[in-house]
Amino acid sequence: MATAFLSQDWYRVADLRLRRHGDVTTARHVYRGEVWHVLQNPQSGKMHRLTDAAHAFFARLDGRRSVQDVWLRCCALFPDRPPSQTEILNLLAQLHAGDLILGDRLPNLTEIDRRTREEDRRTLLAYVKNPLSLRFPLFDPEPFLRWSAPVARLVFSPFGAVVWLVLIGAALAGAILNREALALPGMDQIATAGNLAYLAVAYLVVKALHELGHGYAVKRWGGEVHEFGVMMLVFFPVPYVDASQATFFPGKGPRMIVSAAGILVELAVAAAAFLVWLAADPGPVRTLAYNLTLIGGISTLLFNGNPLLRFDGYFVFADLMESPNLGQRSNQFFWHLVRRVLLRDRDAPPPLVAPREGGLLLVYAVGSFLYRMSVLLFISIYLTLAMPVIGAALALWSLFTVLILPAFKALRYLVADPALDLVRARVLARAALLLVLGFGAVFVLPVPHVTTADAVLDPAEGSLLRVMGSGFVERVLVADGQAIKPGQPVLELSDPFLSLERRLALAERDDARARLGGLPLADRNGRKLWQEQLGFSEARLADLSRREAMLVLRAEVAGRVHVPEAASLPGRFLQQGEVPATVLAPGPSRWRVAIPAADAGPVDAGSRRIELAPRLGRPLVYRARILARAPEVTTALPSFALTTKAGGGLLVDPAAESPISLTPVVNYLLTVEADPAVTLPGGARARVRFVHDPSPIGPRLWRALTQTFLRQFGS
Amino acid sequence: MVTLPEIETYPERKPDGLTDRDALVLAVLSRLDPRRLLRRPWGGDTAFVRAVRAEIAAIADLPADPVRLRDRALCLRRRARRGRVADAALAPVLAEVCVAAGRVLGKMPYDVQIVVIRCLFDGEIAEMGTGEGKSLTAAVGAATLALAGRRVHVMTVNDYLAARDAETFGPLFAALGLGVACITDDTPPEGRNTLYRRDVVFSAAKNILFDYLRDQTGPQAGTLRGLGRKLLAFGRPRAQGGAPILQGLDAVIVDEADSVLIDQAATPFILSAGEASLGGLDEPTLREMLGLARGLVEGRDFRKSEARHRVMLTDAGRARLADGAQGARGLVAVAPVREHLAGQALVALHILRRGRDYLVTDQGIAIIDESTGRLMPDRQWSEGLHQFLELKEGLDPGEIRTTLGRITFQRFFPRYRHLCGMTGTARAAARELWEIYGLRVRRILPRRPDIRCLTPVRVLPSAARKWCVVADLAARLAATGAPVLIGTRTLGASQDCARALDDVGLAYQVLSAEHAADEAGIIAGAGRVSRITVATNMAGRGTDIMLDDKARAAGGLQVILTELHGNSRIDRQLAGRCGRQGDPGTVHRILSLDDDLIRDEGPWAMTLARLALVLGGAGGCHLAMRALQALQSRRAERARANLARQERLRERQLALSGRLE
Repeated sequence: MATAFLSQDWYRVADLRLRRHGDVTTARHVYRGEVWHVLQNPQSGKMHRLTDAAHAFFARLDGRRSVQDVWLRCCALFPDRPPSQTEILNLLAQLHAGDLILGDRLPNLTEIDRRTREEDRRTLLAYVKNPLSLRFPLFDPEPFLRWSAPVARLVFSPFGAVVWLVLIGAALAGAILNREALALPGMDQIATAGNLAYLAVAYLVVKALHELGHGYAVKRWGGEVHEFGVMMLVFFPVPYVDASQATFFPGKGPRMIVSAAGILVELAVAAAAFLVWLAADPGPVRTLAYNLTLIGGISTLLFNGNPLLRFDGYFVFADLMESPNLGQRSNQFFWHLVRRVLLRDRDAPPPLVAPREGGLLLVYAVGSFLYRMSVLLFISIYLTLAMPVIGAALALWSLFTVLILPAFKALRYLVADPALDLVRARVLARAALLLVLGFGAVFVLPVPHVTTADAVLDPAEGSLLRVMGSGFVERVLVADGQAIKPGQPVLELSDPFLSLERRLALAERDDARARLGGLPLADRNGRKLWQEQLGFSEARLADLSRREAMLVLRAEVAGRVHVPEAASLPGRFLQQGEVPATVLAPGPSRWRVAIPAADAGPVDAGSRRIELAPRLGRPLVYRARILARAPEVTTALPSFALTTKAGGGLLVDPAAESPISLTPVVNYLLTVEADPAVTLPGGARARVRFVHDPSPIGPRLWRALTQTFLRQFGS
Repeated sequence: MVTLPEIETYPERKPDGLTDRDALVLAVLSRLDPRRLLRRPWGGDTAFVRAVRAEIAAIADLPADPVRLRDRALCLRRRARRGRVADAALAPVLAEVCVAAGRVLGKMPYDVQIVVIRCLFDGEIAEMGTGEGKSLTAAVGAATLALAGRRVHVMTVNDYLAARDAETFGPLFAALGLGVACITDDTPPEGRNTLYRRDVVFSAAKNILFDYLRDQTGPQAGTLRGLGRKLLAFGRPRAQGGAPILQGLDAVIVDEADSVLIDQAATPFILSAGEASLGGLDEPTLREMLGLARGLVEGRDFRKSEARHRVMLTDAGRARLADGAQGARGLVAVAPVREHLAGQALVALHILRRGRDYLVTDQGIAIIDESTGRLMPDRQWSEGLHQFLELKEGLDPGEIRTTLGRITFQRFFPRYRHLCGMTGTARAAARELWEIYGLRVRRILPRRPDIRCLTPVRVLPSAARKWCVVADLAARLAATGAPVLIGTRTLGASQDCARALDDVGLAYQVLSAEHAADEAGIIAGAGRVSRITVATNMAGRGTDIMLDDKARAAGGLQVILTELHGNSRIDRQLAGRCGRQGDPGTVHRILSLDDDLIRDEGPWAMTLARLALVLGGAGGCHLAMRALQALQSRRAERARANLARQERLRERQLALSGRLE
């Protein structure tokens, strides 16, 4: 321990008399109760974060005392944890690299030259490595901001806060009052040629105000902004300002306001525009206001407000959690953990600003990585579709730098890093074990595999009591839920026209009969005429009796009768074909299920069991089996009950009359051996779970991914 | 007499400021096509040799003419300043040197030596066989380079060889009007300044390196160099007492280049001084610490680990120390340093024993080397341990030495403006030589064909059996009248071997690297009939064993390799002791499973070697050992590359403290 405490290279610096660079300014920050000092070199604008102990050392460099003396003094100041020589050497290197100290000796000019060259190259490399996000500095906004500084003081003041709150409050109130008028427009409505111009104007205005907001916020608390430029994010221009000076602000509040200023301004613009939109008559002003609301409100919250991407939300979040440099340090912390697991190296200090920050860093590291990956994947697909050759190349390159290059570096570290020479076998074994465990978890470990879908009950033959002839309900002859036999009357209708017709027909028959009786036998032609008339009337009467018989609705099968509106039925007019009652017959029931074609594979491959849970409001699960599978893939659905329109899960074509799914589906017919206790009415809905054999998650993810790609590239 | 014009004050190559990425590019380039790093081999029959021969023929019968020599030298110097020297400019000067050598030394350089000088001029490493006359080549090369206007350092393997060569070839340089000097360990520091002003300086590498370190850490250090200094110094008198020792690093000819530039590349050389500049570690402090340590009780305050030569303080011990050191100032006030010092004091008190670990002599404490049991009076324990021992033994404590400067060959040699060298084995290191030093290797075809024989390799299960077999073989070979050279890897192995020879009752002599001068006689006699010589590899390198006629008739030198080394070049060096200049000779290889090569790798290597021995016999086992050897040399190479990277990092870290020495 003492050998690490004393450094071999100490002789190089022990006698140096260093002094602080005169222009360096310092601010005291508190993160999670720990004191840190942030130094800034105004010439380069770079910030450096020092611990309290390191700052104590730095503060004592006055050009008179030697490094050795200052170090001993610091050891006396921190007797519990004296700074080691190695730490001091690292600190000095950091301070020197940041041009924060001057020495009494000529520094190594070759080395400084090399540093400059490396930095230049790194800047260049950053462009090459990340072609999807390039920065182009344009001008120095500082003179303008200084000239208009009073605006900053006005905007970022209690008065400004009140105005902002009122504006947002008014807009929210307006939105709630007019919520039915607000419907999210589809992309096709936004991206019309006519609207694009408005959108562009709105974009420029909103983003300009956004950056101005940042600038003024920095100005308000005494900082300076020296760079305004445009960043090309996936070839889309996004303006930016260099507000890094805010990092220097001692207070957490001002730092957060600077980071959030852009969002605050955009929200205010959106709120104002929304109020205009509510008030204005249709016309260009209204359209513009609409687009301003869209960009300032929704896109800002989705894009800038997300802490997982390195935009405004990230900085607000980092300051809120008092975790400076969160993104970078969370990565460092992640690798620190990996190294700790692999090397069993418990001595290396974790890159934390305060104890108990680890959890946040780990969660953030993993979360932001996954998020970035998915965004990158999305962008890659988009690029490849938009510009097949160049886009694909760029997408591949991005994936290479983000995934393959780090993987390669990790591998090289494991295989060739000299630091591991003594423990390589063990480290490799541990790394291999981790990989095998990870691989096993993804590709071997069976995980329960379930496909779920909605089902709708297919009414059984004869269970629907359909009205055969129209008429007013006279009487309901059964009680709801009563057991009935086949042929038992359920409902009696009456049709006043029918009895009128009957009287008419009777009268006609009697008339015909009388006329026939009065005709001489020799009048053969006349008799024949009336005989036919008589036959016709009698046929009509017979028909009418049949129709009258139909007015009594009878059960066709035995079971329990279900008359949903028994009380209100009498006196109501029922059209022919209506179903006022059903008979719930015990016996197998049949259910219709539609499964998106992409998910049909596992279902067709066979399931361990199929669970069907009718939506009854109480837990009840039946075993079901597949009775039939439609051979074709179709978009026609058996019922609206399966669609989002009626509480199901499938998106449906809103324009179509019949249920037409937006995604192709396969239709299945399931059957359930009925439970005598419960009988369900036709059209009842249920949730179906196809429980497959447990299978590893890897192949499933892969299938989902390839299908996504196939869909994207196929269309 | 040739008068040399004043050259630049401190010629030295500007550091190239390689970044890690540059180094990576170089490493990749060198791996892409390693064969291109080797130049086409040259034999004695080249156009250049014919040109030199023609020039020699033209002036051979003429008397020595200083004016002609000066004119030719000036002509060469003018060309040399412009870059690569054409054959036509070099040949006349080289001819003059050759003629002078023939006249003064009675040795006219052979064709192959002339070819080598061409290589040296081009800044290449010449790989030439043993016995091809490397000493003469180096001298002629140094003279020619000096005539071309350079200050030449000739780096020999040790001080003895430097002194010998400087003396042997002195007349040659004198005849050419060149000043020659030799720097050894014993050269007094005051006079070195003037010695280095001579045109050619013979020395072992580390002498010049330390003088360079002194220059770098001296009063001139940390100031601007070159034009910048000239501008600043314009019109002012030169600072007194600040004159550098060296005249810069202009040109160097490295003998045994692969050993110096590769094998020793990573060894750090530390220049230290006795000033206690690190504040507070003076005698009273040390006495006080020792007193405090005497008050500590084993078990309660500390635990000791004899095997690891270390003491661990317990919490109680730490607290006791802190109490005792209350009010202390300086380093002792810093807990970790105080505890470290107390630990050292405890080691001195409780672990190191007189008679086993050290002796008290008139000169003070002398360390006993653990592995060899020899006294090492020059060595010192570091970090205060030595001083505590002296106090414990009632001697006056010496000063704690502090580092003034630290450098490795890897960093030192690239600073020469012109770097070239010779060795017997360079091919295997060609890639690394190019990557680190930008040197290319050219093989020089031997003057006479190589007629060495190689007997089949033998592998024995244990070291004891091996030494028996070695002794038997040596006895049989010596009986035929042939001289025998037994090569070992370590001093300890040499002793084992000696014991085995004693058992058989053979007369032999042991050659070790420690006393090179005394043992020059042994080498001279090693080629006699039936002579048996045991030598470690370092002694083997660079020794030129001359055979007498009877020994040649009896089959020449019989070299017995008793172990494979960490890299194959050293084995080849040892094997190269026989068959010099077309002499007969035989190489025997007798290895064992106990060899360090296998032991160092751990149990798995042992199992592998045993398996190979059972399955593949001696040949198979030898192959397995060669694979282990390749593994080890690759690991060493990686370690060197890593060291270079760390040095770059260190340079970056310490940039504020000025240029690193």
